[in-house]
Amino acid sequence: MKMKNIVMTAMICILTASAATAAPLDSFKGQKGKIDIAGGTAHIPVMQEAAKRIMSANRDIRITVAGGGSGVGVKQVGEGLVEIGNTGRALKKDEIEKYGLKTFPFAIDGVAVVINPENKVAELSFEQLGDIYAGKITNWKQVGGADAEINLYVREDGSGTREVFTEKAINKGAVSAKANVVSSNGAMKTAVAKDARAIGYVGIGHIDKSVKAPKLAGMTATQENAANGKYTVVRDLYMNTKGEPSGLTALFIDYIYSPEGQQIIKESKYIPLKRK
Amino acid sequence: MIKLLTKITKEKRTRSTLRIKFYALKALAFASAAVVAGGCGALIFFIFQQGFQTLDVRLFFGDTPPLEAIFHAAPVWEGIWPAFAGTFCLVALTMLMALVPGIGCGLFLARYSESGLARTLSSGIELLASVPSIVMGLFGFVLIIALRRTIAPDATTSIALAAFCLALLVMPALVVTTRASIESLPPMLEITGASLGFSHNAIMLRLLVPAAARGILGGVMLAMGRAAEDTAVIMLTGVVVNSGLPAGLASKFEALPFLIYYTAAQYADESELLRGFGASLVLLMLSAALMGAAWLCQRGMERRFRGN
Repeated sequence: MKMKNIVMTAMICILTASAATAAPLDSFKGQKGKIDIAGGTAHIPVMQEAAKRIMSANRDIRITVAGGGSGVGVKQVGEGLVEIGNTGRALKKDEIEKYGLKTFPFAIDGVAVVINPENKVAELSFEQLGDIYAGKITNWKQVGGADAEINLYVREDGSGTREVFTEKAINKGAVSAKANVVSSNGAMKTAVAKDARAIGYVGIGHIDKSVKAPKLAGMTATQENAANGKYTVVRDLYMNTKGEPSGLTALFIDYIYSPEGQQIIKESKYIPLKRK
Repeated sequence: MIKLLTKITKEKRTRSTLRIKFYALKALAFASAAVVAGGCGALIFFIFQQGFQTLDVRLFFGDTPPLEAIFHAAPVWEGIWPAFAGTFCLVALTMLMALVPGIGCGLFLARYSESGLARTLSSGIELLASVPSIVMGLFGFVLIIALRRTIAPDATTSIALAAFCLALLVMPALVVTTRASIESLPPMLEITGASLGFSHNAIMLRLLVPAAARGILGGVMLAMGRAAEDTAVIMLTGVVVNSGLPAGLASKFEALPFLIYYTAAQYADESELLRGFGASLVLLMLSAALMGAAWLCQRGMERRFRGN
C-alpha cells in the first residue's frame, strides 16, 4: 500500500515536471476524445484557432465549436450537452447555484466608439455620446465637427458588444429609433467607413485604418489601456464548466491560459487575462 | 327590327367586355410570370456575381490538399468542405428517416380516405405541415434534454437528432404529394386492374405507384430541398461552426445553410463575406444537382412503367 503511494507520487511528480517543461501542445499527446464548446459568439475565433492547432497536432481529438449566445452557453453546459459553455458576461448567482458551474475569465474585450476617418471630431464626452445616441444631438457641428447630420449605427439586440456599449458607454441610456442596426463588427466597420456622417462602435481589436476612434472622456481606446484599466468600456470573456474540469477539458483550459493560448487571444483581437 | 338591333348591340357589348376581361387576365398572368422569373433571375444573378469569383479549390479545402481531405479525412480549415459533406449526410439521413413513413402514410390516406381515422390523421398532417421550423428545433432540444434525464444520460444534440427533427418537418410534404398524386390518377386504371384479377396490393404497387411516380418524386424533391436549406431546426439540434467531417450519428456536424447564416451575421472581413457568398452559390448548385438527380430517377421509373 505504502509502496503504491510512493510510486504514484513519483509518477505524478514526473508527469507534472514533464508537463511544465514541454511545449503546450505536447500535453494532448496520446489523448483521445471530444470537447464540445458552445455559447457567446465573441469567443468563436479564439476557440476555433485553439481547436485547429490541437486537432492538427492530434487527430484523435475532436473539438466542436458552436455559437448561440451567452444564455445558450450557460444552459448547454449546465445541462451537460457541452463540456465548455462560453459567456460574454459574468455568471449570475442563480446560474452558478442551479448548475454548479465553475467560471474561467480568459480575455478582455473592449468596445470603442468609431467615426469616419474624414470626420474631424477628436474627442467626445460621455454626456455628448449619450445625447448623440439618444437623438438629442443631431448635427456634428454641435460637438465640434462639420455641419452635417449624424447617422447612428448600433449592433443587433443580443450582441455582447452592444451590451457593453449600452452599459458602460451610454449608461443604459435610450437609443434613438432612427439608429441603423448592423449585425457584426465587420458590417459595422464597412458601414462607418462608407458613411462620412456615421458614428458606431466596434470591438477595440477591430479598429484599423478604415475607421477612426475619437477619444472618449479623455480615454484613448487601445488594447494596452483596456488591459491596465485606463479605458473603461470593457467586458471579460469567460469559459464555464460544470464542476471542476477534468481530462481533455482541463487540458484545453490550461492550453488557453498557456503562452501559446495567450498569443491566440491576441491574434483574435482580445486582451489575454492571467489565470485567477 | 328595333328589338333585333338592341339584341345585337347587347351581344356586341357583352362580347367586347368579355374580350377586355380576357385581355386583362392575360396581361395579369404575363406580368405575374415576369415578376416571378425576374425575381428568381435577379437573385441567381446576384449570388453568381458575388460568389463566382470565390469558386475554386481553395473555397472548399483551404490550404489542405483536396485528395488528403476527401480520402484521409485530413482536417480542413478555412474551407467549406466539412459543411458541404455535413449537409450531404444530413439530407441523406433525413430522407432515410422520412421516405418510408411519408410515402407510406400518403398511400394509406389515398386508399382509406373514407374512414374517420384517416380524416383525423390528415388534419394532423396539415397541422404538422404548418409548424414553423424553429418550433421543430425547440422540440428537438427539449426532447434531448428529456432523454438525458430519463433513459439516455449521454444523449446529446447531434446529426441524428437534427435529421430526425428535419424528417418530421419534411414528412408532411411527402404525405400530401403522395396522396394527391395517387388520388389524381384516372379511376379506369384501378378498375381495369381489378377486372384483370389483380389483388389490391398488386394494383397499388404495380399500377398506381408507378403511374404516380412523377408526383411522388416531386414531393421527394421538395422534401430534399427543404432539408438541405433549413437553418432553424439544425441550429438548435447539433449544428456547429467548427467540427470537421461528421464523425458518426451521435456527433455534431457542420452544414452549409448555417455556415452562410453565421458568416452573414459575424463576418470580420471582406474575404470571409465572399466565402459566405461562395457557400451560397454551392448550396444553390447542390439543390440544382438534387433536382437533376431526382429528375433522372423519374425518367428511369417512367420508362419502366411504359415498358420500353
